[in-house]
Amino acid sequence: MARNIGPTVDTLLARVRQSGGIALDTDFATQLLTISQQIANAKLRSVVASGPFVTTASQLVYTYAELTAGSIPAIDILNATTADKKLYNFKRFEDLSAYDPDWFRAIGSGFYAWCQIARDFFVLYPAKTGASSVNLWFTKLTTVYTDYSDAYDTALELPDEDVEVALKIAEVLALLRSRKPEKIKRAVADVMKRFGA
Amino acid sequence: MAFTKAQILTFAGTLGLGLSNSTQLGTYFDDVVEEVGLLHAEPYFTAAAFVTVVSGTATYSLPSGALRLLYTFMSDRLLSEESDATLEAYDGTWRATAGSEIYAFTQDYLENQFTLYPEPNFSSTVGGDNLDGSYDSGWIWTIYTEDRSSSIPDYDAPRLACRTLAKEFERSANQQDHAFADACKEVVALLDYMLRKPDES
Repeated sequence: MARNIGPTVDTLLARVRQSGGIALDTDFATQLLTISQQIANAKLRSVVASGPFVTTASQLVYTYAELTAGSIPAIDILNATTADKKLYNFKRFEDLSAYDPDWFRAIGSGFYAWCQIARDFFVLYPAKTGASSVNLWFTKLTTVYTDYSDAYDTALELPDEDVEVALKIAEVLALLRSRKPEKIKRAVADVMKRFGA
Repeated sequence: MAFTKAQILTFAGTLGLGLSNSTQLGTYFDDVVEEVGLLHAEPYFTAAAFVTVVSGTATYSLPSGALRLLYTFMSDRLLSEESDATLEAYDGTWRATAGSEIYAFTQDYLENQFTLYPEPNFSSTVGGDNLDGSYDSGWIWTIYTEDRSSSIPDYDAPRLACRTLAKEFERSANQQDHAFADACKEVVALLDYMLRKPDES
C-alpha cells in the first residue's frame, strides 16, 4: 500500500525535531519531501510511465518542454519504440555524431535511434518526411506539493521500499537548519551507503 | 511548479535560518549558475538557439543568456570546436580565410563570442531558422549552457540553494561558518550524485 504524504511528513518532522531548535514549517517540509521524491526517482527510476509522442516532419531534436506539453512529464527517457521495433539508444550524444556526422538533418523512412542531450533535449534519429509518433518509456517527474493540508491524504508516487530514500534526502536538507554539520554529514553518508557509494 | 531565482533565494534563506545576507545571496546565486554553466561536467541548464550568419562576418555574439557553447551545427554538420592555436597551426591566415563550407569554431569566454572558420561568404536565408523541414542550412544552430533565473526544475532547487549557501557562509562576515559551508558542499555532492544521469559515470 502506498504511503501518504501527510504521515510521511510527520515522520520527517519527528526525525529532525530538536529540543530548543527552530521548528520546521509543515508546508516547507511537504515541499522538501516531494522534491526529494523527484530526486530519489531520478536515481532509482522507480516511477516510470509510457505514452505516445507525436513527432514533426523533418525534425530530429525536441525539447523536454515539448515532451511535457505532449503528456510526457519526464526526468529522462528510458526507451523509445515504434510499432515494429525498439529504437537503439546512443548513450552519449557524441556517439551519435561519431556514427553519423551528418545526423543533424538526416531524414529516413523510419526512426532508428534516440539519445538525450543533458536534461533538456531529446533526439530522434533520423527524422521522417511526415508527422509520425513513437512510444516513449520515461522516468516520471513526480508531483511537488507545497501545502501540507492539501497533500496530507495524497499518496507518494514512489513504491514503499523507496520512500526511505526520499525521506533521507529530505532529512539531509531539513538538518541544514539544525546547524549540526556532523549530523548532516552522517545523514549524507547514510544515503550514499544505500547506493554503495 | 518550477522555481525562479527569487524562490530559490527564499528556499535557501529558509535552509540557512535567515542568517544570510539576501543581497549577497542573490549575487552568489548568479555566480553559482555561471560556475555550473561554464565549468560543470554535466551542466544543469541547457538551451538552444539559431544564430544568423552574415556574409563576411566570422565572429558572432553568443545567444542571449548563453554561457558556453556545447554544440554548434551548420550546413547539417556538427562543427568542431578548436583553439586559436590549433587553427593557427592548421592555417596561418585562418582569420582572413573565407569560404562556403564551415568546419570549426573557437570560443572567447571573456567576450562571450565565437568565431567561425572559415569566415562565411554567404548569409542566412530569412525564415530558415526552424528545426523542421523549412530549416535553411545557412543558419547556425547552437546548444549551450544557460544562465537561467526562471523555469528551474524543482529537483535542481536544493542543489542550487546549497551551492549558494556554501558561498555565503564561507564569506568573511558575521555569519561566517566554515563547518556549515562544508556541510552544504557535502549535500551538493550528494544531490549531484543523485541527479547524475544513470547512464553516465
